[in-house]
Amino acid sequence: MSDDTSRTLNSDVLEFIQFHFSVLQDVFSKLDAYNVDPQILKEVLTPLYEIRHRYSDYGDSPAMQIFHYLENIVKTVSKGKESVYTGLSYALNVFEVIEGGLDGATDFESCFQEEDLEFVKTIYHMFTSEKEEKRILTERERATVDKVFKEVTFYDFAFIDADQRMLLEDFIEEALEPMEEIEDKLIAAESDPSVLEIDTVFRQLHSIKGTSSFLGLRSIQHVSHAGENLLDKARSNPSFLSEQVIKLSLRVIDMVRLLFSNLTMKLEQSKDQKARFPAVIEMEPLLRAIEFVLEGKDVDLLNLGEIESKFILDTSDSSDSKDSKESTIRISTAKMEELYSMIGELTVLVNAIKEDPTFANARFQSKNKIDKLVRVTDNLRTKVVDTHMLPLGGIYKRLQRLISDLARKCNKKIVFLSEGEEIEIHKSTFEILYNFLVHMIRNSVDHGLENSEQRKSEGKPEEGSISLITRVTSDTITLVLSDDGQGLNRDAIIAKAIEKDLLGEDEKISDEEAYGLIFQPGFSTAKEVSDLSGRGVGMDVVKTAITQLNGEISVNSVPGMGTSFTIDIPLMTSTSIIDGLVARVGDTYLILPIFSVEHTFCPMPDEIKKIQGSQGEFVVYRDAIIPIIRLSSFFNINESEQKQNSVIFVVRVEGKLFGLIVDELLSQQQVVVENLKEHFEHLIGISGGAILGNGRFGLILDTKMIIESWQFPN
Amino acid sequence: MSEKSTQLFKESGGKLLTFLIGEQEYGIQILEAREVVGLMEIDPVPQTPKFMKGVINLRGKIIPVIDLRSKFGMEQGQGSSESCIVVVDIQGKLTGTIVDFLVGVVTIEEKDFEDSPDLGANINTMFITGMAKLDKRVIIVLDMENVLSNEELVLVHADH
Repeated sequence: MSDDTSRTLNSDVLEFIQFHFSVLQDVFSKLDAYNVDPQILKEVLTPLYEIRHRYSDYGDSPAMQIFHYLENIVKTVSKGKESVYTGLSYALNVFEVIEGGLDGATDFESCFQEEDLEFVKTIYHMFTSEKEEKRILTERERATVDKVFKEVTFYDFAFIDADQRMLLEDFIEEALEPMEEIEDKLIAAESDPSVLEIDTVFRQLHSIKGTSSFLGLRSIQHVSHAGENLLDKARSNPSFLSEQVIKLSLRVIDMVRLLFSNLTMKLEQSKDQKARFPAVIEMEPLLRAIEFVLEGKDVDLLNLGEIESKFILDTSDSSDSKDSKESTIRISTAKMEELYSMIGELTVLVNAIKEDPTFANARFQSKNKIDKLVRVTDNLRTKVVDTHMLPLGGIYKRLQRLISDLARKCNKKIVFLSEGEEIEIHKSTFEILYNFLVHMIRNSVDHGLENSEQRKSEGKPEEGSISLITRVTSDTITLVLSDDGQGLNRDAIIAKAIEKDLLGEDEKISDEEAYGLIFQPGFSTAKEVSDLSGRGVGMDVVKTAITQLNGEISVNSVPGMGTSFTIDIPLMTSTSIIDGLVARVGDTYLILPIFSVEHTFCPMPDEIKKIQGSQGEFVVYRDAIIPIIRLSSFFNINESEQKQNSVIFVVRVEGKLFGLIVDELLSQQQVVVENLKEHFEHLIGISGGAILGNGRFGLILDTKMIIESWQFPN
Repeated sequence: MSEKSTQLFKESGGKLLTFLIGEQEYGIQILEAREVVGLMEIDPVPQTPKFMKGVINLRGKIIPVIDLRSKFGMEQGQGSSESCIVVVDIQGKLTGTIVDFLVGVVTIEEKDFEDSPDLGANINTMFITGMAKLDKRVIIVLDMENVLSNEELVLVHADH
């Protein structure tokens, strides 16, 4: 072989391998270690065969050896010779090595180093030694292992991209608090199990499970699921709740925490280019112990003791990983609020300086400084306000991911339609919103939407759809989450309610009341407890969360057509920033949310036509006749004398156009919505107030309410 | 003694912040007073009763301001340079009241204090905790909680 041909061949091989590897990546990401589909394992093997057979000439190169090891491991796993999830975790380790090597490689022969091969060999030996049990690692192997294997854990991620990293880091941070709470509660109940607030603990664990399942953290999901099973049994059967159950639950928490700290480590490491992280935590003894207890068998206390000590050891080993994290800090809301109100104060002061005649006529240089001050203050204010506000788009993106994950799991085809991603809401609301939407969407996917065949036979489109539409209307944010699934099963709900003593045997209730029952604690009609949802904590959690926000939820369902939830959350709790058009009527400043205005124009004096013999006025706008509402007379404000600046806002309410006329359109600006309910009740047509840039107060209009009360006074 | 009066002596130590509306001196419990600010621009809010003058921007906070004159059915006064807004804090809720002249803080003795007297028809005694004598002055002690109770606001709106 000449040098040239060898080089061409070399890059050919690399290309070929890279292609097959990307296929592999695809397949691997579909693998669920707890529920391995033999078909997928075959899919993994195919590209591996391809690579090996086509380039058997290169059999001795490190790359080929590494692939060979991978193939062997997968083969063993697929033949069921090895516990699948242990086996796969080894495979994933090798996989990462390959990924690291191929990343940015230009040359096939040199893309793997000797040490990569060494590492893979060690992994392979460890893998085989699990089978043979007693095989002792050579000293050299031991050294490699010690160097690279900080912790032997099962890890869930073959690939972590930036998006995922963000989600994971968020999750880890969010989960810490509930974990501590659970632990505290469990510890408090250790001596007297009956004092355990089991519903709360259960709910929190359920949330952790839910999120980890969504994020693909299968080990955490698995352990927490087991813990949940344990608690669920105790929940429905108080006599089951023994000291042992509490102890086991604590182990579950330990385990979850250990998995978390491993994940953190993994995240830290994957920031480096050639990071690799090995993984097999001995979860099985704990899981087995839980199963035994669930079956009513007694777990050998000695055995349990062993698990315990091992965990403690593990946890202490990984504790140093905690020091290295943190790119975000937590700030108490009270402190933020203080900052917030001080910024408000500053803004007002700066505005006052700006408008002070002494400064307005100041020399250029001082004026320049004042302008700078104004700008900096503005920036500062925006930044501080920003810390509180998040666009809904963030939620939508995460939900989209959740839905595609769930769809794949359930083998259903689902499209997600969303509207309103530009709406910004307060962070506290954001988190709560997200959490309950996750619950609800899980329910929809799991119970609501049928699978493709069923849908086809019912004459529905094969793809189910879930839609989430958010609007800021009047003084509330309204979310409508609907699916076009099978709808709620009235009979099943009623039967369940009777069984749970929520309803008398012969009580007659309306559909609405029946559907409302699903919000009762512990209510679930699902026949089997599934991985996704179906314990009936879901809707209970949702209801609680919404009540926390002073919101309301209602459900509407048509058998065979789908279910739709409407959630109203008052703006008061979801302090938000809106883009508004600032207008003036007389001395009063009005703010029209920009999303409610379709168009604005200045009418010619003769364009506004009066209807003979009545107060009515109208204007012709784009060939349509639209009625005019004078906001001055609507609000009883004295109009200004001069009206040449009058502006008409064209708004659409329930499909019809209306024109709102004001004295003058001043500017467009972002305003922080403040609730006025505290001070004024029953303001008609006003959804809130805001302080404008000039320090004055503006009323935020609710165009829909204005039109409605204009059409139907009282 | 009413609960309010007890509170006046127990918690506020008989200290009142007093001000004039017209010729009459009024006082509020010192604990209920948050701060006094000069008369500033008040932005009207439509659909509110007449005694609700509007809202002010107090360092970025929106605070409603009421006019006790119209609440008490008195003649509209002309704001003077001495007029100011007394901001009261009732259970965490801030509300401003326009007063003609701020007198200051006085301490009254329990023996000089009388629970809600009968003042004739044109003053609603619901808003009054009692009256205090101080030398030759007579101070009407207002019960701000009742002055600001939402009831009247709601009633007005029901008619709207």
